[in-house]
Amino acid sequence: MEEKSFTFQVNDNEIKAKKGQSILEAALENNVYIPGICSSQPDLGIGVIQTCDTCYVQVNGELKRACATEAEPDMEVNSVSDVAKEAQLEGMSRILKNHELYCTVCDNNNGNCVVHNTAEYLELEHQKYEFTPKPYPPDTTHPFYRYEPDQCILCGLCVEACQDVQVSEVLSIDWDREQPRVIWDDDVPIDESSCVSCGHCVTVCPCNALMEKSMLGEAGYMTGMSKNVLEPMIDLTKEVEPSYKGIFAISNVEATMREDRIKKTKTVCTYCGVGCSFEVWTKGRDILKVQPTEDAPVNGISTCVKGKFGWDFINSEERLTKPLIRKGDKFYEATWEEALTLMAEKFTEIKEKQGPEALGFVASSKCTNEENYLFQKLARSIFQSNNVDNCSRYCQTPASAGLMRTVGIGGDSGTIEDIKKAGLIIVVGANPAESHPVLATRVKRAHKLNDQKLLVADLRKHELADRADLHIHPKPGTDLVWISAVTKYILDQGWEDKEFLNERVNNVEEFTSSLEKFSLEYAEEVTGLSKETMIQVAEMIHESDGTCVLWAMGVTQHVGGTDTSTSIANLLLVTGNFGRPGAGAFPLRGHNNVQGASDFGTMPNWLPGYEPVENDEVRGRFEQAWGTKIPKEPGLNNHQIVEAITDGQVKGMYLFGEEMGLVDSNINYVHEAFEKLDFFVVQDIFFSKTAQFADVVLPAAPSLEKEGTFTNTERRIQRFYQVLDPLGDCKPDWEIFRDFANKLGANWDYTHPSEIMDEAAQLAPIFAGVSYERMEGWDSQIWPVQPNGESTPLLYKDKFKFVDGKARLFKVDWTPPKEYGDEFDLHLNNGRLLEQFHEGNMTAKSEGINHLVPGPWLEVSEELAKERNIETGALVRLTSPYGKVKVRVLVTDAVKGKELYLPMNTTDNEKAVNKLTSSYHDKDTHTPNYKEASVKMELLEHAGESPLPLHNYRFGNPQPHIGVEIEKKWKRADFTPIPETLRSEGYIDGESNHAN
Amino acid sequence: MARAITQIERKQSSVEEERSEDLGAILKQIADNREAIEDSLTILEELHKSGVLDMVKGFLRTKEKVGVIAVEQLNQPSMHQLIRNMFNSIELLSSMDPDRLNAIFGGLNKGLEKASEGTEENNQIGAFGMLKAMRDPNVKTSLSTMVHFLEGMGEGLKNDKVH
Repeated sequence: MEEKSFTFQVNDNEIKAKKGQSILEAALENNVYIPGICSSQPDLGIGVIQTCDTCYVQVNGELKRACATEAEPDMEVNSVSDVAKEAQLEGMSRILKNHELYCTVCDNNNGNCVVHNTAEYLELEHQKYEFTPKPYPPDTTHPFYRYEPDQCILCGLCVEACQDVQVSEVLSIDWDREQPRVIWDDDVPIDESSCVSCGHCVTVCPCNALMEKSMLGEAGYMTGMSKNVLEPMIDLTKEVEPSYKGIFAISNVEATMREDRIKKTKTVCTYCGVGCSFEVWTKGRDILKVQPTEDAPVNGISTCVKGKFGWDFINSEERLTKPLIRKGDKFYEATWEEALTLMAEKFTEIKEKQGPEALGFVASSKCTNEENYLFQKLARSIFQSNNVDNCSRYCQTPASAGLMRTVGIGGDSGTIEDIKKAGLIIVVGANPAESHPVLATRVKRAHKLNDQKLLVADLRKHELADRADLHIHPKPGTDLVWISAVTKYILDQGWEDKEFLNERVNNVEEFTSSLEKFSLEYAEEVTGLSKETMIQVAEMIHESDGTCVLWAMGVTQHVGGTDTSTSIANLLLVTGNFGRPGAGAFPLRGHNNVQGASDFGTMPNWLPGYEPVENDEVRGRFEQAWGTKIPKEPGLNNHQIVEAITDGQVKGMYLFGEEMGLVDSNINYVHEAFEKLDFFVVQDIFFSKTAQFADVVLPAAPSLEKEGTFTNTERRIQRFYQVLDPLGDCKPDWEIFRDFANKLGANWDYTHPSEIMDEAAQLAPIFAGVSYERMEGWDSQIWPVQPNGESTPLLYKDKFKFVDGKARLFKVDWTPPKEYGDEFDLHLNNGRLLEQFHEGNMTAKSEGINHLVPGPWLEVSEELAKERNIETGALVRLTSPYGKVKVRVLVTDAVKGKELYLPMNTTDNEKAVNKLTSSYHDKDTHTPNYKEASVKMELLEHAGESPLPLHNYRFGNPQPHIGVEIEKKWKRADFTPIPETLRSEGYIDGESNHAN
Repeated sequence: MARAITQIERKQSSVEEERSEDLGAILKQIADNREAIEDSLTILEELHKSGVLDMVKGFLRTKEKVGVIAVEQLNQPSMHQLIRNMFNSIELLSSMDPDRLNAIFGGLNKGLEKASEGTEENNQIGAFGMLKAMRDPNVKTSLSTMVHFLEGMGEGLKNDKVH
């Protein structure tokens, strides 16, 4: 539907507007400035807040808020008339009653302070209403930010962000008290509230009321001075102020000077696969803050606790800064020359004696596309080995495989825009609110404000399950059965998209008959879900305009992970939910570059761009470009490499940026394999558990210390820029690979990652138009990218990725999950949590994050706790056929019955969940069946301290409502609408008698 | 066979090495900026000779205490007035039209000359002389200028009351 556009008059400009746009929105879009402090964050929506009253304009002569008044054709708007200006000034004066202007000594005086800039624009001269401090001390309890009520202008941007963007629903303005303020939950200290530390509130605050603690006393030239100088200085400034003009002049100079020492660099987050981008503000090596902006294509102003605050690891003293070489039972610091020479010697020896297949290469989903590309090139062209793989083998390969079988491309079929737009979101075996927090905010917002339906299938009642319209709890490992039964029911009811199936899908009949066994009765018996529940699911899909299915490890990490992923794609095909906006399949990628690592060829069977290595034409193309032969047979994957080490087939291994010694399943077995290697190189930013087994440890540079690109879960390729110099002697991974290859005589002359990307773009058709120039700043590209640079945000609009352009329904059967005998009577679920990333090698270097979550805990259901007489804080031992761990218990209703949950956030052997998991795996892709673990539980100590501190957000008490509740402000006895004030002061109706 | 180990032997000499690396980097910068460095040294030498450096050093080393004293001194009502008056005077001067001010000053100057001539000659004007002087075009201009000034000043004073 085309939006109607029209024109109207603002001051002397004829400006264009779309129907439904506010005056302010239209004006800003046309570069006509109208002040508006509470509209300074377009992501929050313009006109929804209405607290600041600085956007008053005259509309056909009458005073109205520009933010909340819809533009209409031929409307005449004046924002600069005497009356309009006086109204804006009145709004500003009321704000400054709540905010002391001491800009030059304020850490927020960085040129982008909205309050400062608005006051300056309005040529504010004097304080009309005297500033009075509020009777509340600053709240500094939170490890990462502080709230200063005295500076708070009560605009409510933070409340809006918390309630309706992040949708954690923690913040409110308490309008009922004599001096309103922002409160957390039902007015508790921030640190004791349900605050998830996402940082939205701090990011959107238009002044210095909410600030990152890392900024305080650091940003300004004079803000670091001690209190006994600062306070009289503020008094002095206030006393002598001739007018604010002078103050602004000085503060502007100071703000400009700050540009010299505060560097702002765009980066892409290094944690999960959502792909948030933001600016990092640094002073020397100190990270002052992370500042997202609405220009970021995926996240806009959003972040989670890790992206906003989790960067202490960069300057950790534990960083590796020199190459290490094992001699006897110690590592010795060495030079790069020594390390690379030794590596060249040893790898060449193994290759010559045992053959190229005796080498294994494990790549990193934390590192860049360019680095993954070079690493597989190193393995394939120099060592003649296809034994190269990355950690998607541990997580999402089954999802990719399921999609390749059915629709042809192993990636999300759309973008976060489609997730926002969908009529129904189905989440299967995933916990996005903790594992993909920013993506989850879009679901929560659409569900809260736009009536999007939400269906969650999960063992745990996690946040999204709690919010869902329907939360179903199938028996572990039975998702394929209920999904197939729902698909069959839809077909039986004739609710399938017949036209879509006729025109765009193959194998319809064969597939339909393969569903015969998945009757509702059968599914009820296997999954434990009632027939009515499954019918309800089918009805929800049938009635919704566009369904997106989001899934993750709860689906993939099973013996039938690929098949279950396939059944999801089948369901979406039958209901016509591919190739249209607001619909599709969204496997949620777990690491920042797990998509890109696979895309750029660190897989045993694919060259970059999913070009099959067995195909002679494809290999020929790469061989010609590289000037070397490439082996034809696909190599070993991660899992097979470990097996081959155990069997004595693989002798040498090169691994970078992957904590395999903790995150692979059945780690006792993996450790034994590591011990058998003749030569093992580990390249990382920290001395990881895996590095302990190495012969050579190489110090690598994290994302902030290099350039490159990451590809997020949407297939979006984004550039990031170097923020800091590499620490000590560490080097970017791509430089290490280049230098190592050159040690072996390769003559690689790459001087910048862009040259590596150019090479990949030339060789892989899906990256044809990818280039660094097209990804400058906030620009990004979504593959497949046409030679002219055109992205493909939505896949399958015209055809599926098969020769005939048609999708294929693919019949699958259920593989029952592994069982380990009656002795192991409890099901052990496992995974991530919000605050710590993965095992915690990076996030656990942050004191603040460790304050929020110091270690793992074992979730035990209320029923089981009662049965075994266990309380929160008790110490238990879990034993599986593969190992044991000792952890403390948290009794919670998030888990049910005999199902336990143990998060993976530890580097401590005694608590590591993968001591318990097995080496069984998905039958198609070898992804370990992490989610099919069983244990027995012994009580070691009856009582103890809660493993999750009581100040953690999970114990908080959120206060949901819509936004800032402006009506409450308007109902206050001391509130007079601005037009009324102006009327009583004689500014309206021509009685004006002012000098300005 | 390589079991997991955690002991790392750091290079002992690395502190000295680092220091010599750092020195090397500094020497290079000095060599690259020879002229600027030489000029700076000359300036430093002069500052040292004249005792300025000594004073600055003392100030910097006691900056906390001095800062407190300075701000305390500044933060007194009389200082507030002084600073405010300074700001006001600067504002007044900045808002005056230089051409007009020039004309007034020109007149003022001439007036002063005449006035001192008159005083020197002890030339007292009687009542009749006064009336006669009123008809003098020069005196007329001066008087009407003063009347206009009084008008304007009154307007300004009135406006100030409104605010």
